[in-house]
Amino acid sequence: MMLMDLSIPELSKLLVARKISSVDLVKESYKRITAWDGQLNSFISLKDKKIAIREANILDKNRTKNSGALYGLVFSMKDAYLALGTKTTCASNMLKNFKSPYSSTVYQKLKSAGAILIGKNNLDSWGHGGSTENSDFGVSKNPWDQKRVAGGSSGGSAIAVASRMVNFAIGEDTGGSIRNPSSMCNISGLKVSYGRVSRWGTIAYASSLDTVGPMAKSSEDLAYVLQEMAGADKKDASSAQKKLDDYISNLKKRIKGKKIGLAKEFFSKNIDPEIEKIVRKVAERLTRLGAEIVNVSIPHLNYGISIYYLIALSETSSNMARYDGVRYGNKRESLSPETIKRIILGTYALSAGYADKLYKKAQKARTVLIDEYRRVFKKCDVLLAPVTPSKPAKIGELINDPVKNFLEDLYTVTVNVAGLPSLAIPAGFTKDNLPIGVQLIGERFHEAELLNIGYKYQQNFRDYKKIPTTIKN
Amino acid sequence: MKTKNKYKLVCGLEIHVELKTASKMFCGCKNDPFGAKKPNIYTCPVCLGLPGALPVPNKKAIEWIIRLGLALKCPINTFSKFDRKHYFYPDLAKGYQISQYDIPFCGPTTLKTTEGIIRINRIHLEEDTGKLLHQTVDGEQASLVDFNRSGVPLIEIVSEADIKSSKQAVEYAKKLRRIIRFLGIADCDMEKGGMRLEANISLKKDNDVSLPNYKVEVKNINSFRYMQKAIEYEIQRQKKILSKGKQPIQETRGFNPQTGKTFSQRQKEGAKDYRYFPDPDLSPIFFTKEQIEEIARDVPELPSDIKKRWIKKYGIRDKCVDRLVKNSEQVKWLEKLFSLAAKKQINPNKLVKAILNKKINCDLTTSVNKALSLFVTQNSKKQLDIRLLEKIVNDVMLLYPAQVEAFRAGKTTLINFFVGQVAKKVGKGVDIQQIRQFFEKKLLKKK
Amino acid sequence: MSSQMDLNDVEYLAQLSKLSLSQKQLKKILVDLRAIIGHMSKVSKMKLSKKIPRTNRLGNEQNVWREDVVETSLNQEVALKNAKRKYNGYFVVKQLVRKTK
Repeated sequence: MMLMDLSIPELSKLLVARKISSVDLVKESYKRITAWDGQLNSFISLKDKKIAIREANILDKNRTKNSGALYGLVFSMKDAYLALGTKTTCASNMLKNFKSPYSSTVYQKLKSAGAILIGKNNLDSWGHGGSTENSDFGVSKNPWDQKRVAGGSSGGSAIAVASRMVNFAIGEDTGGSIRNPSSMCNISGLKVSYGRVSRWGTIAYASSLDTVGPMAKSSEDLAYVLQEMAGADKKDASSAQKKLDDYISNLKKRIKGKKIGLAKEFFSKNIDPEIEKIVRKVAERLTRLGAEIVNVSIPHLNYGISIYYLIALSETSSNMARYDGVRYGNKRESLSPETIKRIILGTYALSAGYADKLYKKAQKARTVLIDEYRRVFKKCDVLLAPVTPSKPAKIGELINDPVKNFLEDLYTVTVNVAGLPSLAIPAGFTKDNLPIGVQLIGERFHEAELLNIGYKYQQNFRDYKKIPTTIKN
Repeated sequence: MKTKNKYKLVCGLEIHVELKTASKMFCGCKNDPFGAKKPNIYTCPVCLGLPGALPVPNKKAIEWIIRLGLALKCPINTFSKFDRKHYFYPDLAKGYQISQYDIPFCGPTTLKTTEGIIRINRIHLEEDTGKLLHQTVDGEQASLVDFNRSGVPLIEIVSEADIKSSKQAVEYAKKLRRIIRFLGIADCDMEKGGMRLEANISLKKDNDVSLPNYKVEVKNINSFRYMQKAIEYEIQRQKKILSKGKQPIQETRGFNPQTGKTFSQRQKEGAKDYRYFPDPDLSPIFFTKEQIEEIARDVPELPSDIKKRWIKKYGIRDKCVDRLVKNSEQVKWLEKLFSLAAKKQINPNKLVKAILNKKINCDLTTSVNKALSLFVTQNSKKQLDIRLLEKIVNDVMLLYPAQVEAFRAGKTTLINFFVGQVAKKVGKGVDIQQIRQFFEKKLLKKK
Repeated sequence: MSSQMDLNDVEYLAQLSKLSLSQKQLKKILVDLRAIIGHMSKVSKMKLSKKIPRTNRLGNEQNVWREDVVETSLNQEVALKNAKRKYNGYFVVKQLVRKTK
């Protein structure tokens, strides 16, 4: 049994009782990383072990009975977050040597909660991808099958949690980048409502879609992390003023009578039958916990890919304009072919003569999609949906097929378009033992409700506890 | 051949003005690019365009542009937003400028000049760029970039092509500067780049109804005089081309003050396509009618209105007023002074003269009472000896008995005639007020 | 740009995006773009009423702004620390050829 297998509240209890120390946690974390990161490629940069132990030591000394749940725990962040004292590369040669001149709000919050950042995780550079193959720092590999991708773009963070290198990680979700790798690596990941967590210090992919969220073993752990990282930020004019819920105490609410919606559009002809089966199994399990299933429809969901990519790529072409190599970074041509392609597509969607029928039309369609989701939530409390239509792909399969690469995102992207929260949780395994997750999509700012259902589910169905036998020790 | 009248100027101005807020438009960095002792010391993640930085707008800058809009009687868009305008230049940190595209804060209005009305198309709010310095570094020609100015709030006032002469262009721009300064929202220091002029210049034939199908943009003009010269030069240059049956190239030109000529600035490579879209990082701005009214309460009476009122109420001469009306605090002080002067029957124009000659300090900390009594004592020194005055007055009355009769019969305007006669005899520098009062007493006494 | 994208279009878009790419790179991008663009442009076929407003951001809030208060800036050294070329506190770029007198 590893300490890394324990939940955040369990660890917190042991730490406060001084039965274990943060130094123990840090040591185990480095042990895991040393053992497996060479193969899996979860990290782009790692803190010096001595420094991490020194930090843990100080925290151990200063721990009180009232120390918070994250005090002295170990975490990593997708390398899209600025943190003083770290390099922030966004997995791109453009920022290969970029030293963070300031810190992101999410890092500051977690640091002041006493969490120890031990490293920065690999990703598809700039978030441009769903497989962590588009990285200038090498492909990340799925711990369940190293010939396969870990999902993305927050692939490195998912691996770090799945292979028990950290207690939790911070990912970023613009079109599925937290949920997709969570699903493929058998961990839990929360895409928060747009505006729930500050984006200050997060390298932007698409500003109106980007969300900062936690990745951890379970819904319960996610609640503890979210409690610390969420909230309004005066440095982020798009952060929501809405009051935070108590995510932790909400976990244990009864879910009897909850209406779970199944939208037929989420089970399109592209879906792998094995995946559909698993999703329907989860639905059935939820009814056993007292929930009711409601059939609903989101008619324009199939336009989701088009709407999402037009908006995301338009915005990314703009957000990437600052990388000119003058104040920091290398020349623009150091961007990867995938990123260059996305910039050019975005420029196209915004250019004179095309903006009206592409970018502006997508903004209108976005309104339509938001309304359809709103209507659906009059009929049900949450939606249950698959995360991806396919199981984790073989490395090289997606990056060489640009169309398939885009279409893989169909089930996740519309959630970002509508700004909704979505919780991805482990749900089962394919015949070839690849993990499959499902997502629970809620109304805007209903994170507490999703975590509550996720928690109740995970109390009864323990797929989330499984880790690949190959990396058990 | 009367070629001189063959072509008419068609000219519009784009005027940029830096607002003098304490901090920048989208971040808390100090807004003092000109006062900065070193380059790149008033910068932060936002105005340097660092990865992950997000803009938050300066409320005061928004209120100030609305204040200007209200002063110029613009319709105010109660819903407005910021858009990104994309182009690449090393002084533009983010690769886009946050500006306003289709919904500026202030809509169309007009401004009067002696040569006619100029329509203003819009006034919008945006951020300034950094500054480039061209210099040799390590034996190589290089451009140095300083971002102290990056993100300074900037308003852009765009006129229609209604300007018909270089003189009118200057009058229009000066009038705007005066109003902006008066509102206390900007210094408009042209030398420091606090106000920058850009003229779109083309010519059309006298009898052409439609606008010319080209325009030459003369950029970065930093004085009114240069603008006048640049326009004059362009008129001549374009006339020459047109009279050969050709059409001037649509381009951006600079003005060289040394030669008095404009010169072609190589066109930016590639096409211009700014790809405007609403900035997703920024919230839209809504104002209620009440909020607009509240800002309107802060809008002081404008110089032109004050002028009209003072001429009517106090009889102050037109020319003097222009030099007095600098800011609203001063106007308030002068208002008190003039109304007190009126009560005491002191000639306001003399008072103004004394102020302009710095004989009386327009010091807002001293009371108007003090200022006025200072003025009276200053003037009393030049007062005539009473006996001498009496003698002269008697002489004049004896010389013009008919006029004395007429005055006493009610033709009181004759007083000016008498005063004039006395003044002639005693020479310059005499206190007309004193003579007038003396005369009045004298004439009425004998009644 | 015509309905079928060609190499000139890609070159123009690359220029607009300030990317100098080789012919080989442009050709590769063109192949990918042609494959994707149909899927990406699907919305242009949606029939949407003129009345439908555009959603360009998701923040619920409006009038999010800050008071005009000066905050501490980065010090010059930090501001410049990631720059490849700097000189006397300035960032340095190659001289921009602008003027032809």
